[in-house]
Amino acid sequence: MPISQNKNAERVDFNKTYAAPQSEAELKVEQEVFGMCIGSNGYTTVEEAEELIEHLSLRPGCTLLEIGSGRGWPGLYVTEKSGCSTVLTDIPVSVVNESKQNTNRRALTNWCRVAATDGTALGFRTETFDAVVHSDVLC
Amino acid sequence: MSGYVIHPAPDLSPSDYQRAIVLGPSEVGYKQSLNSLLKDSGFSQIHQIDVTKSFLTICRSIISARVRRKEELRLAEGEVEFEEEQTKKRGIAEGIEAGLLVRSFIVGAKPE
Repeated sequence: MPISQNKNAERVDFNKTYAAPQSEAELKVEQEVFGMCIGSNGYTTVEEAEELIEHLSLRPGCTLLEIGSGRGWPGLYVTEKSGCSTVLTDIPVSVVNESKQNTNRRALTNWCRVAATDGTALGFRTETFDAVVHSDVLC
Repeated sequence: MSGYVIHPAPDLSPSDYQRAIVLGPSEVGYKQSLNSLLKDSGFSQIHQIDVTKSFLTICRSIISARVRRKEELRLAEGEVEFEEEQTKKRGIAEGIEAGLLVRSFIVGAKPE
């Protein structure tokens, strides 16, 4: 594989990764590995998600941006646990839609918004967020 | 700013660096170093903790759990896709075990 940062190629890969919603079998794998069905596509454990809350002192009233939120892990968990308000962002529209469904499913619509956007060209005003999280995105 | 980053181990030879890129997740291998990425985003790194051990544990657990559920996963994902995913995950585990891939917990801050 060449060392390449071809954005179109990356997007094709993202779309392949998130082409279909998680199957029952994948959810069972998650349950077994992480101890809960978390909508993950990475390696962040529950304990590691809690580290994010602690290190950023997230609490009600804080506004958090998650870059590369995938299906909503760990952003939704962090929101639920800390009470902060969160904007989940990712590039593929299919996965952003999935994270929106997961937000609804977890009754977090008052705290979470989702947006299809590229982390390198965010359309938010400066000073919008108190904190930023990312999980296996900036590699 | 806080998060988890998978990246090639520091100070690799060019051939080992290339191998880390090949074995790592598709996002690994940004030409800029982590520090320069943070700097360009206006952050300074204040904390970096190596979490590679837990990364390897999780990676191995995923591989084993997927093997245990291979029949269900093959039906859901397709035979070829299942094998591709397993190969990818095994490659990542191999990269970690060979000391080529690491995962770090990063905390950065913007100047007041």
